[in-house]
Amino acid sequence: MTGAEVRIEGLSVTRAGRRVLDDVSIALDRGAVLGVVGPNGAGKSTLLGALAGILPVSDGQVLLDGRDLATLSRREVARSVAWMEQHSERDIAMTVEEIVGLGTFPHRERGWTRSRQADAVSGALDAAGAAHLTRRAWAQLSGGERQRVSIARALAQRPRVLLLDEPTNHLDVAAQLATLEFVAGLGITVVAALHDLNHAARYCDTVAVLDRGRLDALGDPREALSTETIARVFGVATSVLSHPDDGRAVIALDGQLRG
Amino acid sequence: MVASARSAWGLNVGFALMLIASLAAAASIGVAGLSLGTVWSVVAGHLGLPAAQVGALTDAIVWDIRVPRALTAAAVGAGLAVAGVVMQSLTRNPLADPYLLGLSSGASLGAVAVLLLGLGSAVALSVALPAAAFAGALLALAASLAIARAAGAIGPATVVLAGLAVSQFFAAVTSLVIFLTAQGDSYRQVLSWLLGSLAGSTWTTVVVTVAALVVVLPVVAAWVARLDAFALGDTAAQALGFSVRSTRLVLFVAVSLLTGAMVSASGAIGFVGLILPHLVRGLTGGMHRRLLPAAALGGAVFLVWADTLARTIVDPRELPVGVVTAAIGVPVFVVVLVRARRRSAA
Repeated sequence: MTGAEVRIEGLSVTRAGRRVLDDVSIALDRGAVLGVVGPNGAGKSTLLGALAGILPVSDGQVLLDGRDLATLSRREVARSVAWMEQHSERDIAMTVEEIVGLGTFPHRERGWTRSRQADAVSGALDAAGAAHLTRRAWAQLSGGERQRVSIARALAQRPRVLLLDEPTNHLDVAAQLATLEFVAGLGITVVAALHDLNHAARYCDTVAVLDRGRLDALGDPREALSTETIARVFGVATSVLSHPDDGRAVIALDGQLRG
Repeated sequence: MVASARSAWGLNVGFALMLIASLAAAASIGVAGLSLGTVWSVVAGHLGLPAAQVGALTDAIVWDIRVPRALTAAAVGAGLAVAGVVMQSLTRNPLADPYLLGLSSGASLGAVAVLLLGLGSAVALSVALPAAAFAGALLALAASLAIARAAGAIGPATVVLAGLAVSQFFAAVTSLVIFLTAQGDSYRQVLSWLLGSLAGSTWTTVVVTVAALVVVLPVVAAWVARLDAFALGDTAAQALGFSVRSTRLVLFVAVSLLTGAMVSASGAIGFVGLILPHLVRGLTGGMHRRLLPAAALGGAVFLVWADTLARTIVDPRELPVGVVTAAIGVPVFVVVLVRARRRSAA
């Protein structure tokens, strides 16, 4: 799988008269993993929505391998950019195969045969390491299994950019790490809105810190997630340590900042 | 277990044969018990096929009363079941159906209002009645969704409570209007509009209800894949490359049209749109290309029998068919509600 080069240039989004995203610029290489962090309401979901081409952009642009998203149809965008859903919904009377099959929607056209559909589904399930779940009913999966299937569903879209909005919600710790590790290893460009700063530090090449719609910091985890930045944006005191094995940044919470 | 494509095909053929048998049975069962052979003779005679002679009275009972009634029941049942399937997908709510969300009582009010305006010709009425019912259904739907949105999340409970409020309000206005203006038999009229009755079925109601199906079903059929995709949630569905908002809007209007046409023929029959999709989903799974045709056929069979029961069970009087569908539907509703709440709590 190959990722796309993503360039976000001067991106602004206005909703109900309010700038929810203000002049954000980020450049990502093919296959890079970007973690977007920030307090609630900072604009994380808005940034993802703009990347998915489902929110109207008021200023600036998003370039995908040099092509402006705004010039592409919804369907064309959907062939390159997938949004991985968060399934809190369990009550769906579909099998894993059927759920994953939904992902081929933007590719279906004349000549999209039953066998092409079947190949796309089994390929995506293999790639997500979920082939063993193929025949299972969605409603009977565990949280971690559902997450795997959702990844397969997104991969069936054959994306070059994968968007994840707080992918670790509702998951236990093992499933959280499994999801992030897996997604980061796919080789496609990933943009994930994350709550947990340590997830961002561990699994992302680049971290963007958003604060009230503005890009406060951008860089590799150690640059972007400095004690000062975290204090300014989140209002908490932290010590940034180094992991004894690989030297990656580890953020230890010291408590709430007074003042 | 979820049906394969082949067994879903078999299921539809089975349902279709069941529907034909049910229509025949419904035409033969009644105060004047007629043999299936007699029914066939009448129908064949009218279709210009060679048939035995039957008396004028028998001919009238079968061709002017029972056949249009059975066909109306089938079309209404199919329409309400399809409306239920579509509403459940669009709102991602297992409890959504045209009756619970107030569309049916909104449509009733529209129909009653037109009847009381007393439009002269029968032709004008046959157009105005469904049109007003459609407008009433749209209004009720808009009101339910607006209340649910104002109350916060559009979760199952909120939507049902909002629908309940709207439904009760429209039903009360309908009753009031009938009592203020009608004479004599107004109780019966109130009951037939609020609980639903197929006693007023004619060939006109057959034409109106079948026409609504002919108009709406292709729209729904063209978008089965979108209906499937709604299961992923709005954002992920949208990211598959279609507009969730305009799809939902068009399908809401389509469902209102369907409900309006059905209610203008039969009043507000409850629970068909709720329970049929659930029962059929157990056989076909949730993919709409299998679920929709089976629900339509199943709904038709169900309502033909519910109506046959309603007009014969307390012979010589007639129950509103909504009493029968509620008697079957309420227990199913309770099961669905308990299951949905348990799952969301788990």
